Amino acid sequence: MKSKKIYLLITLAFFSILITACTSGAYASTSWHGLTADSEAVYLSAGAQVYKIDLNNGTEMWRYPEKANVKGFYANPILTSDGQLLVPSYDNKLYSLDPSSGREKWSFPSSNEDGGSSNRLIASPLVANEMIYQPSSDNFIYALDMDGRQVWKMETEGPLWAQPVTSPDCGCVYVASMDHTVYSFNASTGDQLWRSPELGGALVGSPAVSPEGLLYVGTFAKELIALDATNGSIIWRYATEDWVWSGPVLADDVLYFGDLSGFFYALNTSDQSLVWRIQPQNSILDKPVILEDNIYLTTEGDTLFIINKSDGKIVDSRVIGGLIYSSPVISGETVLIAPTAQAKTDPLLYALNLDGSQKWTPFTPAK
Amino acid sequence: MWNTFILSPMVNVLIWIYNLIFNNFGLAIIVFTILIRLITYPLTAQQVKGQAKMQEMQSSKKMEELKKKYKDDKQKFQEEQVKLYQEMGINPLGSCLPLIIQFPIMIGLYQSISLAMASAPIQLLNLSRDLYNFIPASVLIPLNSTFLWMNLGLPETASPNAIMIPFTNFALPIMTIIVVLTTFLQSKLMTPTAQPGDQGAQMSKMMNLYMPILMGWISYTLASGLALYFVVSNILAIAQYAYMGKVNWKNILPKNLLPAKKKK
Repeated sequence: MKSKKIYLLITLAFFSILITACTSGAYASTSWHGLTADSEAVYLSAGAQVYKIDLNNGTEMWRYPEKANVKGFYANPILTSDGQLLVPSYDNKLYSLDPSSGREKWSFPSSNEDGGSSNRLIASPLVANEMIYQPSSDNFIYALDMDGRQVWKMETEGPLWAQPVTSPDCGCVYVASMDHTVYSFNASTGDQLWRSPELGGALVGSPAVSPEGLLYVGTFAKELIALDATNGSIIWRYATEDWVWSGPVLADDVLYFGDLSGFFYALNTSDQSLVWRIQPQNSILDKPVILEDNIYLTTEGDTLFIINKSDGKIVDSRVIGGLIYSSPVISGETVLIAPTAQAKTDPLLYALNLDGSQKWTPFTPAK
Repeated sequence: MWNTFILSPMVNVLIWIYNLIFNNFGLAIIVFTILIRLITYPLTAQQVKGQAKMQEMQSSKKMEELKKKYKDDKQKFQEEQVKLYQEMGINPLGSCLPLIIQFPIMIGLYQSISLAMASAPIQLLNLSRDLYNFIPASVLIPLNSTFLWMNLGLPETASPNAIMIPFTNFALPIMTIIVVLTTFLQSKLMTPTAQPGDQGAQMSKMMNLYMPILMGWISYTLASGLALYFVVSNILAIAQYAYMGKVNWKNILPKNLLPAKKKK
């Protein structure tokens, strides 16, 4: 009888482990890594920890927190002009770190404070006019002063996964929401200035703003849409092959953006004519980086593409490895790429020269 | 393979139901559970029949004779027992099969809920690839994951509207408690009355204790949508057993509340 009890207990334990193992994967799979850089260092949000890495040689300068935990850092960290590194987290908090030491300066909400976001912070904050605008999956946008104290918050009808944007002199913050609309809020008071009409699909990419007063947004309704930045009305729509995940990049009146079918578009804003279109590899989930005549593009594959801006021809490509969901970052003459590692021992960061050659040994954190 | 035959169909049916009934994911889970229960009803019926036959066999004279005859030779006893199974047309695995089938459904459902809720970018990306053409994905996404006080994609206690225990920072795991209670109730009501000397009764007793704890733990730690599935599934299982006349009220009601036996 005793052996039967043990057998039963082992069976139940086995099924508990089986269920947890089979299900935790879906729950744990979250997002791709975030990256930012200045002239000396790279800041990498790599899930459990944030790393500061020397831009010149790829050595680790600090990590936060010292021991990996379940906070979950994925958005691109933001460096502010007053010496803060802002890192949003999946534990619903926004952390301000000292970029030189990695020490925590403050968090929003602070540990002894109620309120704050009640869901994950997936997007990076916008820092403008000495204010921090942090969007949240709890549908709210939180406006904070530079010490992390809440000034106002405003609710939309859907989760906010896109970094807000602003434009000079508008005194506003543009917020793309998964509720299929774009909002404009007064930057100081949070008052809603306008809300666009229903755009047909969720928006998870940051809008691009033109000096002529247009906002360009990509949607899950397979469209790139131009809105009037003064009132949110639709100016024109352009049909794409698939969902447009990231927002476009605007350069010389041409919009550059990709879709989930892997098509990469160069679209003339003046007459919505297609300048060129290519399909380099897999789904495109983040913005390209434009440097002079070249476009640096990563897709959900393992390769960095260098594309001629004027005709869309692939000038060069480099196989990096892993799955590259996020944009490359260019600092000086270094191209930085943070693939999503598929094994624990895979490197988290690659540094290339502008010609695509390797700059330093890919960064893998020491245990 | 798993994605093609289990996960994708499940998530598409869930979202299709969601689209039909007021864009409410909680209701979609409830309707989906009813569908699963209806589809697996033949298996449940087979399980009940198998259990009844098993019980019949355990208390049969032949079995008693075998036990006496081979009390010192376990191997021979098992061989003869297998023969007896065959004679009586019993498949010993028949009563376990529905339980075994529950596990992939449970895992598939959990993954479907997680995937459909798409509370993080990679999940949303995966969802976009799993949806069939007839699902109006761009209109429906993001799905409304709020049901009662729960965010169905998150553990109940992590839901933004979780009910807090007064004067503390702890959320009350109401759904977990309901899962534990209904699982306990279900186990009790479905356990046949033990025969004297029945070793299986001891096992059932232990199962009645451990299963609610296991289900409670899963409900507490994983997405609350799964807890909702457990509750609805447990209630429906009791209803199905009651429909087949197999609910054993003796296990939960005090003796004085049971109808008196008719004297012959």
